[in-house]
Amino acid sequence: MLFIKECKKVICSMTFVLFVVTVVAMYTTQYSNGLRTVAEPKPGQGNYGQIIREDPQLIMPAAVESLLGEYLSGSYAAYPIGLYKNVRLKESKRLEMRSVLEELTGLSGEEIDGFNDFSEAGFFGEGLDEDGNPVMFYQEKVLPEYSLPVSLTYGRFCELMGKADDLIGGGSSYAVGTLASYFGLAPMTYEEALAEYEAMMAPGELGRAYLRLHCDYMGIDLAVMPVFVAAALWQLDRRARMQSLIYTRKSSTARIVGTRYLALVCCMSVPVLLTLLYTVCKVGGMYPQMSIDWGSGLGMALLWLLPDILAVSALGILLTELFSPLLAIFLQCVWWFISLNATGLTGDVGRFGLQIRHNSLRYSVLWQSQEKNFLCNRLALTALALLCLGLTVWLYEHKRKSGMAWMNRLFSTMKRGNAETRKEGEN
Amino acid sequence: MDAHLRAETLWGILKTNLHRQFPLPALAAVALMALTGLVFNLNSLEGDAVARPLEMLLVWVGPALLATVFLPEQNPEIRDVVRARQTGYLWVCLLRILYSVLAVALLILAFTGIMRAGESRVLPYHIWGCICSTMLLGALGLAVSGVTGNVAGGLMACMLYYLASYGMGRKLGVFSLFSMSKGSMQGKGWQLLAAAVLAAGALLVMRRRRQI
Amino acid sequence: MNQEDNCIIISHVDKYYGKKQALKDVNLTIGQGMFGLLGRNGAGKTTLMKTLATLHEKQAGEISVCGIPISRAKEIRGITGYLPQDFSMYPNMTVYECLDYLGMLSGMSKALRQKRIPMLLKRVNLTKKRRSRVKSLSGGMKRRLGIAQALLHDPKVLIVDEPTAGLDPEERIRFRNLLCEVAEERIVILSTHIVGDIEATCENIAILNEGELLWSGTVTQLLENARGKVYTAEIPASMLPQVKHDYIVTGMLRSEQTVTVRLLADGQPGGGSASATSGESSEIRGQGEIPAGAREAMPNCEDAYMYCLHQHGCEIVGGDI
Repeated sequence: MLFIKECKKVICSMTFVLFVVTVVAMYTTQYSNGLRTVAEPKPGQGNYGQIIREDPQLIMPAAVESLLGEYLSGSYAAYPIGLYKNVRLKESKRLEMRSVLEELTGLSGEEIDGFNDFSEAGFFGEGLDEDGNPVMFYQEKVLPEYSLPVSLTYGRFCELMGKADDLIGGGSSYAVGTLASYFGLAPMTYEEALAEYEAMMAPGELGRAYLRLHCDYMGIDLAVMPVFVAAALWQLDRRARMQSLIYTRKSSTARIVGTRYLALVCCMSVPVLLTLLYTVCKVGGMYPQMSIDWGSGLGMALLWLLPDILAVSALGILLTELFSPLLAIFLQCVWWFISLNATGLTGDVGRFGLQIRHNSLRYSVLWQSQEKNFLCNRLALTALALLCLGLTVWLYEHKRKSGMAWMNRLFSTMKRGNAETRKEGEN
Repeated sequence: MDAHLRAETLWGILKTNLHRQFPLPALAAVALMALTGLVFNLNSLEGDAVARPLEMLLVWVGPALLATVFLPEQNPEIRDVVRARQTGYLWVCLLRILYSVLAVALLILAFTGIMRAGESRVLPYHIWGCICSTMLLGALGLAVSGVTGNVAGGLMACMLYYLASYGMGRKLGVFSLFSMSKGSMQGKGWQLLAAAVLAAGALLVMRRRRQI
Repeated sequence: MNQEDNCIIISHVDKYYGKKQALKDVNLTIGQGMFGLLGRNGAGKTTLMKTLATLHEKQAGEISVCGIPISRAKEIRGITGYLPQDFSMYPNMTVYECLDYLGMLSGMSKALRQKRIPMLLKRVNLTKKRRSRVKSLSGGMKRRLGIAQALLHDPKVLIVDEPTAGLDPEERIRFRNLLCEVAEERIVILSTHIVGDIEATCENIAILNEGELLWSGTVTQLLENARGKVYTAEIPASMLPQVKHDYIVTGMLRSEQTVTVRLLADGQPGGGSASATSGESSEIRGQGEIPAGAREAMPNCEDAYMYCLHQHGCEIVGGDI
């Protein structure tokens, strides 16, 4: 049977062996070795972690203080794709930012610009002590005195923050959607911590929490590694000069491409599924007194991880068929790197995109609020996989019928077009 | 072969390889450099922030240039034709490694030069550390792709090591690719040494297996 | 000049791939002119040729090429030209660049390369294609480029591995003639499983089977060995399966009702037709009596090769496909 033969080809390839090594290494070093039981919070424990509150009383002063500090220092921190960018504003934009701050602080432009004692918070040295050691002191942030105008509503505040974010170029902590996560962080109370713990211990939720963390780590791996296996396998025919032999077989293109793709996906899914089963056994062993409901958790895990394998493999075979395996690998790595860094650690689920992160056993309420996005994201990725697979079948069929003649024709038409454009330009 | 003819031969081989083998890996390396500039801020950086673009993305210049050293002869028939000539294939590979290493160093110097022009405080150790890590990642790609005859496998090994450094942090000790980003300003020399050992070991294994 | 300086001496050579023995105690002396290596696929021809081209290491035995021990690979490579079975070159290089680069690798000076490359391109009729990229060449052109690169540094020994496989008849004849021309002044070792190529070009041949040297000598000796063992017979088409079962059939020509077969047989000519016609097969193929009306024929190289394999106990796989 063709499928079994294709599976054998995948399993015997070196890239697949390396794939398994990566999956196992990622799983053991990042996840399974660090698994702990979740402890019930005790009263008087002191620190219960942090919680994000959408509380204007909390958010507004903190955000304004931060923006004023950045304005006075002349540079703004932004994370357009998750990586730090230091933004300096041109004069026209600086003046616009000043007018935003005028409204937020009630200070005039002159008062803001005329403040010369600005200082960032931090440790500063003050000479040496008797033993020759540097003497350090902590300096709070020094800003001009101001108070938020009484008439400033939260709605208007959000508008102004949105404008500030636009002036910075996006990706700053003042973007309306992320204001609470930057400036609404507050310590959790015992009651809140207990409620979260009890919610986590609800049937099905404990399994989901552990599997979410499992998928978080595995997702990093599966968003890039399948491309190596897919690209290397897909170019085997080319290397072995088998293309013509395969092109002339009776099997339809859809069957050849589909079977190979299916074999790739199935083989790569096996180690992933085995790690999931291992998690179920290990976590089950950690809570011997509880009967954990794994059903919905496993469903979520499959919905999380399988689209990664589907999409990355499909894109890999399409780009390999169209260009070369190395270009396929290069482009996938770039996409992976950008999306990995553009995604926040916890509860960051965009509607579209390669990476989903939830690097915590906690914050299940935050996760639940993102479930629609999660579903949309995974369906979009599956649709992308199907589209790439369809395009690969189409491309393969064209090559089968007319080699690369159509592509050569396309390039020669383009060249002719360019030459004509040049000629016209010269004339 | 007299010395003059040998020099002429090596010069000719070098020129042809620079013309035919080098452009694609060099293009990939320059694209990576441009990408690093696009996704990271390069201006007014200090301390650990200087190391981040260097260690997180620029290090891939190494695999782009070094893991592709054996790519033109990945087809065994081409390799046999080249190996059957009087000037051994090993010399061709050594020449390619040499100019790729030089290119790595030059690209990193150029990149850090741009960072300095943007008022980032790039220390000599940042440049040294970045060169060492880039060489290690590149040598790993070179070794695996050479021994297995599979460039995709070589790049995959690089990704495996990169992920290990990403996830394991300080557990990799002096071999962590991201040590400078985590505040450590020592131990990168070990990575260069490991790179040299890996490359030499791979060439030795390939020689023994009559691949070069 | 010493006799050894003009020949290749192979003595007691063994070669293993893991546990599989690819060459078993091979002893052979190859002199100037065309030398053919015959054998089935997997007989060890390519292994022997790669060993001679210093691409493989032998595990035991001695080889000297024109008086130079095979261990001195660099010197051997300086006097050897090699054309592999599936010749391939950097696809994005032009024909001229390709030869120029390989010339550099052979340690040729620029002046010498500039002199020899146009000459060789003319000889293999690729002058018009000098600026074409290798990937745009047809199979025959690529093979001609292959022979040009092998001859580039004017080697004393030329090793060509199945050079005519996949070529059209015209291209094959041109290629064979070219090889004959260059063999006038050097040792040319040609490996093939196309017996016609050997017949048309080689004076001396060796037959390998499963790594062992079965036979070596001149083509005339090989033909002489098969004399009196080759017959042609016209038989009814219905008898063909039986005849194929009983004899080694080296050729057949079908007409409407009958088939003219060419077969090998050790039996005495003019005998009865018992075994072939009665349906009783002889125990040893080719040893039975000759079909009625069979006439002795002059053996050709193909017959002689098949007979040699059979004579040495090699199983000849026949039957319908």
